[in-house]
Amino acid sequence: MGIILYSHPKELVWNWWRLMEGHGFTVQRNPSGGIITHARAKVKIHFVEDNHLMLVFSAPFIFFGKNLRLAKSVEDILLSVGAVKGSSQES
Amino acid sequence: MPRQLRIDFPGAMHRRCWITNEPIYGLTPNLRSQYGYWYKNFQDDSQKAWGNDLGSDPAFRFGSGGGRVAITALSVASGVKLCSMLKTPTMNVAFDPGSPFHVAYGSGDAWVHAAGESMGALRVTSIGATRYATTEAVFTVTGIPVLSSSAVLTTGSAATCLGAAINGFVRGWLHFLPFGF
Repeated sequence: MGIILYSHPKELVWNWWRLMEGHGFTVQRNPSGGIITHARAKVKIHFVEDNHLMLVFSAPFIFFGKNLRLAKSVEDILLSVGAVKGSSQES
Repeated sequence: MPRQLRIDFPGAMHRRCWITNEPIYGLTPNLRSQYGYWYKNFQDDSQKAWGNDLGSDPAFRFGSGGGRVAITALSVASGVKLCSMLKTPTMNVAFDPGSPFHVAYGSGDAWVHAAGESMGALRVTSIGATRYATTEAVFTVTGIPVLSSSAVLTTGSAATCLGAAINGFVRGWLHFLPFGF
């Protein structure tokens, strides 16, 4: 269906999980980002090249609605700290 | 003899079917038992006319569609084999979880995917594609033959990731066309 890319400030890589935990989400970190969990919804956050990140639904499809709401909450947090939807590059 | 027979079903329904050497269209099992006698006659006549057993004839059992499917499958298999022998470039497609699913595609070690600001207004980009394809893929289809790997990786706008992948595949085959597909 497509993936939403976010360009983000550099420092977000170093403090994103604190932000999420501060909003009551459980965070499990890994080298490329981590998994944000709330209730039974899971959203993966991937930090990729050129200061971009992607959010990926992780829980089973039956929790699509919960994932969607969690992803929206995570997105709101990211946008509030300076992340911007879309790629900062053309290709 | 023309390869066409006509069969008229008697009775109140006055059903009339035009029969080729393909199946009896619309002849349901119910009708078949109702008109079993005529069906049997048709089989006998057909065997006389065409000298074959319709029951063992794939065209009879599956219709002309069966023949077309077989020919198409054979053509595709031959094409894939030919491309393999000619060592043409190949395309890979990775199916991943996303929102709710996502497709990344590429050629060789290079990957691209449709990503962007919102669904329906995406761009084909390499940002995050390799990570996605290598760490998130549920399954990957590799070795899809194309004529140009660079054409597969062409960037541009896309509505969905699946559409972008299909577009990449078509570009991979039609990149040489003069009208700049």
